[in-house]
Amino acid sequence: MTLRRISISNVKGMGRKYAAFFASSVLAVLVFYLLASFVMHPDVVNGYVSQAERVRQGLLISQYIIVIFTFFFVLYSSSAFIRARKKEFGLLTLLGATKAQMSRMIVTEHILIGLSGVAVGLGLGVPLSKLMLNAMSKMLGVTSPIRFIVVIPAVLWTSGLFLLLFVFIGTITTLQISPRKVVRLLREHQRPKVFPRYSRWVAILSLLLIGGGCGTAWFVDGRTLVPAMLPVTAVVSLGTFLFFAQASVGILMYLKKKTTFLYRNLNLLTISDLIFRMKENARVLAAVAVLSACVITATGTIYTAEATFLQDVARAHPQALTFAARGETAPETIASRVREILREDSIEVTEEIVLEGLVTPSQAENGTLLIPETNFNKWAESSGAQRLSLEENEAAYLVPMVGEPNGETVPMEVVYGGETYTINTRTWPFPRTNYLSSMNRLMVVDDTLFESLAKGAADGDLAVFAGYEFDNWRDSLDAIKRIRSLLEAEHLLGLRSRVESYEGRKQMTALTAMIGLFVTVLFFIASGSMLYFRLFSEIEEDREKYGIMEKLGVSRHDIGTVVSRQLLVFFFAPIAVGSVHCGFAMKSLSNVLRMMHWPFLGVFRFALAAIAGFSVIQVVYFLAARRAYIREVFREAAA
Amino acid sequence: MAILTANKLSRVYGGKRSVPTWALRDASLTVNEGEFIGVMGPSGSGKTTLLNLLAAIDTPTSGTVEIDGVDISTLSDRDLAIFRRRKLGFVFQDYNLLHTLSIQENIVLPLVLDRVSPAAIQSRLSEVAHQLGIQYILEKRVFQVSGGEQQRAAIARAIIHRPALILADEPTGNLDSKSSAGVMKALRDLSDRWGATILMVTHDAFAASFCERILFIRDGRIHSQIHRLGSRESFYEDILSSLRAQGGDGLDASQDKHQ
Repeated sequence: MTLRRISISNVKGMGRKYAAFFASSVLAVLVFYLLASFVMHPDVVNGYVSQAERVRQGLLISQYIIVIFTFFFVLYSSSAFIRARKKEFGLLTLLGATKAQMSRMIVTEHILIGLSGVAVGLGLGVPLSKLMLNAMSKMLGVTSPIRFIVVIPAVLWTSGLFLLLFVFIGTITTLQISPRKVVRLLREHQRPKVFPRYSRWVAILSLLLIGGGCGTAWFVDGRTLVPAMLPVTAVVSLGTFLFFAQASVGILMYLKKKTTFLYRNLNLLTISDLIFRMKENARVLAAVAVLSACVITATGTIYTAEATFLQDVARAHPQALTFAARGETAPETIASRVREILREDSIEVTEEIVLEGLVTPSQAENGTLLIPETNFNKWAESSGAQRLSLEENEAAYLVPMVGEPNGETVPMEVVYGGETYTINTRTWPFPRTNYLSSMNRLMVVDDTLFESLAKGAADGDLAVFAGYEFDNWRDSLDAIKRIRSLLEAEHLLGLRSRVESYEGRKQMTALTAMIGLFVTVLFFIASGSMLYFRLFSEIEEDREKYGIMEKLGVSRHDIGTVVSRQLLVFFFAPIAVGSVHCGFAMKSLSNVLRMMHWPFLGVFRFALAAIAGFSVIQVVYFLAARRAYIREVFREAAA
Repeated sequence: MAILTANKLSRVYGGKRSVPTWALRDASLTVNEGEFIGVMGPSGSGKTTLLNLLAAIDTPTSGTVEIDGVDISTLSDRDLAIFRRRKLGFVFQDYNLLHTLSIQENIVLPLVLDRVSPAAIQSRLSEVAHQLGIQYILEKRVFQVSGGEQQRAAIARAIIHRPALILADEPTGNLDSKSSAGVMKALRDLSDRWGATILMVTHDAFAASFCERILFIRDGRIHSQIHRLGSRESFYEDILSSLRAQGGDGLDASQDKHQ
């Protein structure tokens, strides 16, 4: 047997205590690899997947977040482990272990956990990355799915980074051991726990801090959000810690005074124990509460963003479809073919604009369409718009405007077909259309002027501008694609549709939501495992305590009830406090976005959805922890 | 030859703000090679403080401890660790076996820490297991065996490296009378047949009756001592009468259970 064997036995023997920590580490490795398998996929790196560039940055940032978070999570868990095992190190010191030997043991344990965590994480990650790649392909709208391979650089990065992290943290935590101090812990018989000190003033202060922070959040607006964010978070975090350390004790002490409550239903056992538990774990509980608040808020914000983007798309695209094309085919033919395609997909056109004319300057990027007056008036009549009557040598720019046109004219020089014309121009109302960079001005000219311009025109200068609005535009993607290919056969000057933009944005939001979900689930599971671990680090004492209770005639069933109630508070108090914090943060968000007029609770419904989701995870955690804990408590008590 | 020499050991707790308490005052003692010595005294008399000082867990306010010719206060952390794993063996009231290791792994721990070759470890293991009669539980987990067996395993761990001195702190404190007798016989046997040097702190007159010499400690001072002259049974009576002579509070309910 060697020291290494002891480390192995330790890791194996502490299976249940390490379980949650291990599971969280595996999950971190898994998520990191999933993201890396896309970011470092050779096809993506070499730029074969053009759509990937847009999301790569976001994925990279998520990876940084995961690594940083995992670092702190593992650091916390490891130092808590070492603290919980002080007695063991004391014993080893007495048996003559040097500090170096114990340090080596701890580092070996970390390497073992790191190695197995990476192995299991990658073992799950490699097959799951196929799903990930498929999902990404689908969301990005890549025609042939990104091929599934084991991405070697991703495997190397993931394993290297996480192993390094574990070794580094293992080394840091060894600093906690000081042979002179730990050895005392072994010999001193367990000191009785001191009853938590409680100060009403600190409890009130905690409520004031939370209240102040949340109050500020309630009234914050777009201008004050950024300067207020950090101080408010800090104040609320501090308040939350004090709340768990003091106010919770205050509440429980109050309950303790109510004997009618205290002497009923095992409340005596539950409450008196809980006072110690809350106070001792105040830091973890506060950390989990603040973490939950951040995560729930982030999730709520992502969902809100997803919901608001529909409005953005509509604002940027007043028409469902706008295009400009030129070529030999007569404009009427193009228009009728477009209508035909739309009809094939049973898309009902509610508004139609088709204007033909000459495009000028013929080869430039920013073009103007010159439309003969008769042409415009034909459309105006059919759509019920205002007819235009132009003087000789006069032209009107078509612009979206409110109210009556004022009729003032401005002389302007237009060069066309080698000749310069001086034209009096004015403006005329027209519906808003999608912006086309290739044809951003529409100008109606009087018929005689148009005739003379047309003489100098080249063959391909005849062009058509068309805009459509239809209600079921969300189903029009296929039709739009066919229209695009039809027009590309001619000479497409520009085409913008609401549905294409919508789909593009939808991909991005869906991706953000997916990645956000990965990261937040990771956060939640890790924070749950902190609670789980705290629970197990006290199990020795608890076992003794429950052993005494059993001797006093408390049945195992009743002990189970007491345990369940305590765990219920332990697991759900932080998420409840976090939800309240989140509510105020969402209020800030809605102030900034001015969305309180939204139906049904405005932005809060997104936060509520997030809270509901995370509560489900927490319930699963609670049930698993309770089961494992009760089993562990009674296992050795029976032996 | 003296294995352990403690010279005028004192330990004062508190000071500055609170009233200082003398946990131990000018305690001097010598333990010779092969001796089996008991230290008895009521709760709070300074027994544990004495043991802590002898094991270099605590540092004396004044006085020195010399074990096997080495003044332990002069050792660095590292040398102290090496000193402990070669020269000292510990037996505790609550056994202190590591639950993550098997019984066998627990026993060989001091040798592993000292990087002894696996073959040598194996032969030492079977030797001590035989001495203590625990060959049949070596593969078991800690929680699978009884308290008496755990304590015998802990004794095996304390002697596997042939320490110069075995320090035992209430080794029978958590055991019933039958297991107590088994554990004490094992210690006695170590002393008689293998020449082990043992210093044991105890409350229990029955356990103490297995020793050759008993030091009585009271209010931080070594107060008196008695030697074993005849049989264990008569020594037991001597211990009880000494305790009685010192006054009621030295008596423990457990003293009567073996009568």
